[in-house]
Amino acid sequence: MLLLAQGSVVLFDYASRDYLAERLQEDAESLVAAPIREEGEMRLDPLRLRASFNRVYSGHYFIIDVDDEFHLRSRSLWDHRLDPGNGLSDQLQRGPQGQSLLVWTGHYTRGGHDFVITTALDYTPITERLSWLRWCIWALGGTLAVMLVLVQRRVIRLGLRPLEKLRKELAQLHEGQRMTLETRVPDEIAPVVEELNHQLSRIEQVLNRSRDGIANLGHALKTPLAVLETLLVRRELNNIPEFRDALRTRLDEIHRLVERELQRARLDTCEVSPAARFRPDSDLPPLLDTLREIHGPAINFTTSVELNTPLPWDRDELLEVLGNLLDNAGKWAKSQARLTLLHEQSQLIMRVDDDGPGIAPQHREDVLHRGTRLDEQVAGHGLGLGIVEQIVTHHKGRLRLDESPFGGLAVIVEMPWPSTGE
Amino acid sequence: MRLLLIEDNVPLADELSALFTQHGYAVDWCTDGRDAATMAMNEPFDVIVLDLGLPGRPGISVLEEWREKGLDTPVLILTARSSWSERITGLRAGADDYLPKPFHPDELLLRLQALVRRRHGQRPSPTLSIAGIILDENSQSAWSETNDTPINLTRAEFAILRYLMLHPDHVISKDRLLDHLYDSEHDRNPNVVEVHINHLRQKLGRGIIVTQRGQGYRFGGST
Repeated sequence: MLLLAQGSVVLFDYASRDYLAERLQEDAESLVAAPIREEGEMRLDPLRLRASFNRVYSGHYFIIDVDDEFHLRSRSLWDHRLDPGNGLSDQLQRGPQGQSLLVWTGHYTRGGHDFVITTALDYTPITERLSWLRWCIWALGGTLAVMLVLVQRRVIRLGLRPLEKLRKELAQLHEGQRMTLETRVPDEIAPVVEELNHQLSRIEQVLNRSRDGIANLGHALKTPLAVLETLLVRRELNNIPEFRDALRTRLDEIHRLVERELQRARLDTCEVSPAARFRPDSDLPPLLDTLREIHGPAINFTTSVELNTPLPWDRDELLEVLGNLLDNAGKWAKSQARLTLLHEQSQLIMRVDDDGPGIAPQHREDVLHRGTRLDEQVAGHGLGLGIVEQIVTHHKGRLRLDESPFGGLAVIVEMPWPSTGE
Repeated sequence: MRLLLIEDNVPLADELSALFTQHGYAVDWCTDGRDAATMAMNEPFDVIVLDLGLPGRPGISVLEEWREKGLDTPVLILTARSSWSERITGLRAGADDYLPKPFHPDELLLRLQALVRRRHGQRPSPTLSIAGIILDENSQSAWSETNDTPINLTRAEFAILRYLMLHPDHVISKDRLLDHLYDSEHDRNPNVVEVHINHLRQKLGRGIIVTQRGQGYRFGGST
């Protein structure tokens, strides 16, 4: 911008000086004929001169030196001096009344006389016009620059809008809410998005394959484990009980590890489609029927559920939590086991009470941290609480034990309600 | 007591067959879901142990077909799938019990026992006590309330006595007894049944099994 303004002014200045110098030279050439010899003196005939040479400080001036002897000057110069130079002077000379003069000096010979003719022109109007021009260019340029910046900003913002959407989608991707990018992007970045999607689907495939691999391996391991368990009850092994018991402990350990990895693989899937959500009204009754069948008529399972809408958690996971908690309660209870589901302070509260022996407050921590101890003494392999804890922790929830109003144990699960409106 | 074992894993099926036989069950084994579907309809099984991951046809669909056709034999599902949602699915399809693998064999036997007892209107308990005779299924021994010393029984004797005790007021024909005591490949010799019944009478008293001539046998109690 600066370059443009300054450059154009300088070029214009140069061009006009060049043009005016030609004018000055023409003037000088025409002035060669002006002096008239009269009575041994050189004189000027005012009538042969242009009017502007005779008007004082008109802006057009000249001096003529003839043979270094006669010095003639235009009337317009009045008492101002003009320094002759050679050709067009580089600098503007200071003229009368604050004028700046463009000066040109030429040497001529005519009729046996040497003429040094210096003509000058007031350059101020040009300078003024030039500075006006400069100002104009600056103003125009400035406006243009501001407009350009604004337009550019708008263009960039428009151009980047798909990128902004892309950024949001990537954030969602990061949170696991989606597996592909859908933004329609300009052709320039479409290949990037396509490549990203391609890589994502590959990653998803690999993930699914490894998840399925873990699940298949886990399930496949269970049958040989069952065979081993069956082998362990062979009569021959009764003679070496230490050996048998050690084997059994190891088998239980393997089983626990397998279950834990299976559960982890299941949790990692973490895509809750609306169809797979937990619906208390339709999912709880079959669970309770199952529990009643397992524990017989001696245990009375009751529920207090205030939620009728689908809950934003996976059906299988909540069933696993509730099934294990209620099953534990059923194992320990004398006659009562109650489930309470509440939505309170943006938390889902699942509470299972029983009227069994309970756990002394000082032992509750142990039970929670060892995870599996609670139900090991009663029939079954007792993985329940460990799996519950795994699921609850996965959903950033909390599992704690308390005393139940029924006299037994209360197991309370609190899970933060996922923020809505996503 | 006839048991149908449907399990495609041969080592596990071998072990389970041995275990069940040891505990007085006559075991038929099949590995394919399609075979299992027809087999259970054609033979009078007392209990079915069903694996869900079967070649040929999924266990759940086989089970659903049985229940649709009115087969009410107790079914215990034995599966590697241990989650509660899968358990509920299994029980809703008509299973009577659900045991995830791996399991303690004792627990499996207890559950089978409970299923059979429940079917015959008995309370599940380790001993079966009818009309003064007590039968312990774990030790396969029996005694009368008046004489407390347990008498050991052979596997066949135990199986016959248990079947009769589970149907205390019924007359059981020799054929029906054979149907429920021997698997389909076993040589069914009616004379063998008579021999076992004679042994039982010698051990627990003549009145323990009453012969209804031309009809069959009936449990007589400790008279």
